[in-house]
Amino acid sequence: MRPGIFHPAIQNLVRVAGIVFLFVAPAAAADLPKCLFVSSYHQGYAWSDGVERGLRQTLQGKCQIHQYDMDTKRKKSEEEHKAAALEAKALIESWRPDVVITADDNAAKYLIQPYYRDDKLPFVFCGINWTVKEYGFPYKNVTGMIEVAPVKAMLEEARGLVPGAHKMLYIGADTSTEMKNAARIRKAAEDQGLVYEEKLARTLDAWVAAYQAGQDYDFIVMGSNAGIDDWDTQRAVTAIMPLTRRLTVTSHEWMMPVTMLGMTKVPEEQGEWAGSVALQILDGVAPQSIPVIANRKWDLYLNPGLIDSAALTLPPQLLSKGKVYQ
Amino acid sequence: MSAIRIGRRRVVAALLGLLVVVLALGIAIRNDLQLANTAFHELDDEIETTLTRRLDNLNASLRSLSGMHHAMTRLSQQELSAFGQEIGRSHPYVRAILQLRLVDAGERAAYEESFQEAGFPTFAITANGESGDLVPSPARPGYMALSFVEPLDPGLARFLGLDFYSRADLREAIDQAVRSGEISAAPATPIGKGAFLLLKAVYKGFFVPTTESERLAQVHGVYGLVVDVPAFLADIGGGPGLHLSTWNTERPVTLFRQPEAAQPDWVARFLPDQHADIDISLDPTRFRISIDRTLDSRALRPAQWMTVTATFVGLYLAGVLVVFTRLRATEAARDAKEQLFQEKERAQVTLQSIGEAVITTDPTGVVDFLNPAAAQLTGWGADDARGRHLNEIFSLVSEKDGTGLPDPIARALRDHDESEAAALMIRSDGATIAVIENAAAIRDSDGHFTGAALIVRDVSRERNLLREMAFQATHDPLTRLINRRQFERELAAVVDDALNSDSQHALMYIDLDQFKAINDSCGHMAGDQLLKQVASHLGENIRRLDRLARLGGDEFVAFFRDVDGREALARRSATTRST
Repeated sequence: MRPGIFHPAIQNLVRVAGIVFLFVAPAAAADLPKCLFVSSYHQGYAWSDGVERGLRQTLQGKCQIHQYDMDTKRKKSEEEHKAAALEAKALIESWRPDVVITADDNAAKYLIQPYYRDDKLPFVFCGINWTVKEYGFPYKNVTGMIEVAPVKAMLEEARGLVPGAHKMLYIGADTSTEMKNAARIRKAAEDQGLVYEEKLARTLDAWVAAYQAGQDYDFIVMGSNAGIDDWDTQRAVTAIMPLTRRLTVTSHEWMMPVTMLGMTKVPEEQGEWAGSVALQILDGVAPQSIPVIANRKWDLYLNPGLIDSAALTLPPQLLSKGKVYQ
Repeated sequence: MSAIRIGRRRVVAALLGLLVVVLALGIAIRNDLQLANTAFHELDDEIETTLTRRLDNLNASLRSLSGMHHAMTRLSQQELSAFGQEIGRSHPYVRAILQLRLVDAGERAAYEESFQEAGFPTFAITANGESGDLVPSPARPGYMALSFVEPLDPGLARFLGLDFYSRADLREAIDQAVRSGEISAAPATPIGKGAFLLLKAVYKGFFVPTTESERLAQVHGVYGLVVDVPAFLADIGGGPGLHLSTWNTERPVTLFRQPEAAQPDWVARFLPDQHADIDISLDPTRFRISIDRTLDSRALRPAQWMTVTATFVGLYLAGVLVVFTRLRATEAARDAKEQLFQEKERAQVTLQSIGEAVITTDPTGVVDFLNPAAAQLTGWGADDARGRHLNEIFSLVSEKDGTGLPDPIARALRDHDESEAAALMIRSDGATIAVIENAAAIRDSDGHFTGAALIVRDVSRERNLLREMAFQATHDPLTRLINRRQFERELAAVVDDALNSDSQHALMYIDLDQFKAINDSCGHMAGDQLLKQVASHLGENIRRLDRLARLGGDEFVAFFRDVDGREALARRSATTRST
């Protein structure tokens, strides 16, 4: 703007309006209720990012969102997890949110269960794997969405693609979460009469070794890599390409670079549900009146490169149905 | 009388004006009501068309859901969710898609456990509603538990596990759906207000069983669409007063009733109620949409009424003005005619009764009217005279010298319309009558000469009377000789004549001797008779130019014009000798 193009009075008016806006905008935001989002993991972790995305999309403009990441994927010790929980607790006490949303197991395990059982402060969890029995949920002040994978459908699909399959291997990171997943898959496999074995790795080399071993099974179920510290996707892809002969399936979208067929959960569904429930609670609905439910969305992905390298032939209807993983 | 008539007319005009105002208002209001009624029925048609289409869409969606269920060996919640989302996106009035799963009593625990294991730790089949009956009886196939809902939001998720069969109002619709294999409808009371349910049963196997008993035996569950009424009625101007019923059986069931409209304003209280029933069939289920509402007072347009009324009133006033003007003109003409008639009557009577003869002619002098006096005077009957020229009726001559007088009509024109003259009328039979005639020109409003009126008065009597009076003043009544005064007047003139001229005249005095004795002896009658005889004899013996007078008593005097002394003596002798 050229100097003097407007009358000084108008310029003053604009300045005053700007000052008023600076004061009014935060004040307007301050009228919104407070929603604290406690993530068990860290930003950059694909699953957590998806949950956060769904949550923020649902709560945007309806409450003030403050996020705390416990980062328990990278901080592996029990003490670190407890310390992170205490930090979250301190934040709750200082910021005094109207509702707390937590994502994944560790927030439930280290924050809700020890400190907020039947508390006045409402909690909405999401991303807890398979069951909440171990945390004693639901409490009066706690409800949420459990994270389940379409394990049964996935195993049935794998059996259908590998006629006569009776032996499978589960590969994942050597973490408590993966152990929990493995237990579920074991049960589902055994229900379907499959011989189940698992290999949980702490390093990429161990994971590649497990993958190589898996070539002796009818098919491999790929668990999450979260917890393998030296994970490098490109290295992993490079390592497995010459080894791949067997069908691999997964329920984690971020494992698709190293998996042929994905029936993957949708993390946004967890965040959206948690956000919707939080809004209901903010509207006065008692948490205990909202049932704990499980997610039900999943999507179908294919990795054509791996499928080709293994020289597998998939049914045309599956090839035309599955999304091509980019 | 006229004032009364005008006043009455004004009252009538005012009443008619009021009637026109009422009529115009009535027409305008009726027009608005008709428009509103038409709009209402057009709305009916729109509602019927739209709701039929939407019900067809719901029917198609539900049948697609049912078809997909039957076609697939295994239908996961994920697949159902994907399908349900599309239905929801396509039909915004579908609040939710439900799956009610038939759970036998013996399978209840296992069913609940399977849900709990699948991530629904609190899932349980629960009762809701009137009966609260969670114990399947021989009359019911089992629980109809809500096992799927799309969208899965916190509000709807709380109904998972709800046994819809535990509600009496839903049981009938579920039974109907199961038995018929077709769509049935029910209130969506358990799910929420402002919605209704469309239900369709699904069965084991790939095809819907063909018999009712088989359908009852093979039922797998029921799919339902929760239809949100406000959204279902959106964009069709449904408004308040809508009432949707259905007949799954013979007994109608109210699916929803729109809240009553807000208390209508006072105008609306006077407006007619509108009602329409729209029947839509999703065979075998029938739906009826009833619309009961009071006409919206906003449909009335007072400004339009004022315009229409003003137009009518304006036309009426213009008409009244024309009528009044014509009436007044007619009345004025009638009054004038009446007045003219009266004037004419009065004139006729006057003319009939007056003593003067009145004759009117056209400009050429042809008679067109005679009054009775004129008829009597002229000796012509009115009818006979009419059409004849005035000259044929009579002629006028000078009273003095008997010369003909000019045409009185021409004289009237010449003498500026009116002239009077004394004349002698010579009738066609030759009789002569002294008259005074007055002629006047008759002119129209433009001054054109249209005829003449001739008024003729018979003055012969007056003339005779004057003549008699003059005679009596100058003559002796007994002997009819000039009297002493006249004699002296004439004598003076003669003397003057003699003095001024060279002429000679003679005077003779006569006195009757012993006349008194005759009077005394024979009486005055005899004396008078004697005097008359004397006068007669004397008169017989004098010339016409001489004068004989009785001075009084028995005295007579005569003078002889232009005589000398000798002749005078001779005249004396001749006169006295004869006596």
